[in-house]
Amino acid sequence: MEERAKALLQRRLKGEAVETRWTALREGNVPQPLVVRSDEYSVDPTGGRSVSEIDIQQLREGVLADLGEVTGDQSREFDKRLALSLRKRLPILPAEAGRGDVWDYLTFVVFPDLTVSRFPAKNRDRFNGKSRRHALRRLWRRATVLSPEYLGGPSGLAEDEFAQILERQTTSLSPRISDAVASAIVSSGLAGGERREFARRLMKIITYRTGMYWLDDEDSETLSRFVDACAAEVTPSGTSS
Amino acid sequence: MPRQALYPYARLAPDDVRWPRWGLSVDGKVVSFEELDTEMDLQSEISFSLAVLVDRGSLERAGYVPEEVTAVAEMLSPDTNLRRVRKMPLSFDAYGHLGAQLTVTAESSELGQELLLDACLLASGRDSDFGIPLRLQERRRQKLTLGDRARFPTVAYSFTESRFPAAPWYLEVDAMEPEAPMNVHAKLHLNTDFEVVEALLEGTAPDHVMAAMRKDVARALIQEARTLADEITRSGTLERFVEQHPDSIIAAADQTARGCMGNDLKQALKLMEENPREFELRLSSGVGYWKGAL
Repeated sequence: MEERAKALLQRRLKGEAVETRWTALREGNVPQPLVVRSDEYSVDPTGGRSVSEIDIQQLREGVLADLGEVTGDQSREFDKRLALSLRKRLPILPAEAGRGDVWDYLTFVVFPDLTVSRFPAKNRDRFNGKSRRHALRRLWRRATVLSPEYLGGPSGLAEDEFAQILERQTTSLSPRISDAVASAIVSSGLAGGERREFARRLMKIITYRTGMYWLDDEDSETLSRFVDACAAEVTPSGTSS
Repeated sequence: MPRQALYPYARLAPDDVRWPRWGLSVDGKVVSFEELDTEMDLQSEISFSLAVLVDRGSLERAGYVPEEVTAVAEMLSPDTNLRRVRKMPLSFDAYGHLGAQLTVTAESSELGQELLLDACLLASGRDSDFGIPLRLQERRRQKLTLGDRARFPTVAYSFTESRFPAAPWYLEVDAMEPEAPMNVHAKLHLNTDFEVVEALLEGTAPDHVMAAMRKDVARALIQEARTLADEITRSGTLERFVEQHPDSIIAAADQTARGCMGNDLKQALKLMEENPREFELRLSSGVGYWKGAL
């Protein structure tokens, strides 16, 4: 509740402004950060305090400071730092975090340089605020659902493993189940393609089992035992259900 | 691979449980689902309620003690990672009916544009099941779309003054490539010279007028998609394209074809090409064109 009380109404970039900037990006022209006309965005009209120029500037400066010298080329460290930074510094209501045009503003106006340093302006999904695979939105989501230890470093998940957890409702809507699955993946002792395959099979088994079991998000110990039992069913030959 | 039972325990049959419609209230005021968009803002509190009734005999024959069965209501908002749960053990009311009354509440500031409502009955889990509850019966999931996701820009003016043909409306699509977003490249023009359009703008138009407009818009959208789809089918499948570009004109046309005709876009385009009469019949039927008009 405290977090929500501090949340500010975010700016929403209008469709025409998105298209103009996307076209510029595709042509190799990165829009200058924080440059936007007042008629290119809107804010929810139903009340509350909206972000100011200073708030937005501070957000950008804070995120840049958190990233330090790390650039998009160092993708895993970049993603981890940016995920934690957005979670810490972006005072956003969940309802607004669910809106594509809010992420469009952050991408094309506040962080165009960071976004394009991580992903080339080729795949529209990475620059489309409504997409779950959006460059920034997916990171904010990761940091919202998963414990920080799984966002990077020795216990960090790989891109495909994040997608396995965050694009399935069984896990993405339950932080404790997500953490239990992440823990099982990390402690599998596997690496590379084998671990990726393990994660996929594990999620298939969990999804299958939730047809029968109703998983609550209350008891971490029970969830861990359940996920570990599912993990024990995963076999390299794929003969598990 | 050894055969496994999908449910290795007794479940309830659909007829054993009555799941009525979800009730809805915004800030304590009962409203219909259609009114939700106009009644809520970012400060609203939204509650969904449901009263489930269970046949006691069936439950006991399946081996369950009524008081040990729990009813659950869930509100899910995938865009904002929200999962709100309400659990209630079954009990008998004053008339001896077995059931439960559930209400699940959230603030609208917590909700994204897609909302899912689930409900189920649970039996306590056995030790061999890690103590996790077993599903005995589920209500069919209900989906709601909040906000303006499905809309696109609309303009209303006099066509006569603009020297346009005297039609009540038309859909303008200026997309050059299939990825073009629907909400940027499609615009609905309404002709205020028509009385029915004034009624449309006031929300008082009869159903058959709404159906006529939906039919024209759906047809125009599918026709526009036909040209754009040629480019896709040369390089890949329409299905994959729709999945990869959910905001595109093509995806909107696919959604329209499914919603209005019960066909995906590929089937609708084939029908339009090979049997235009059947295409029109299905479209008219799907949008309810003949309901109330004849």
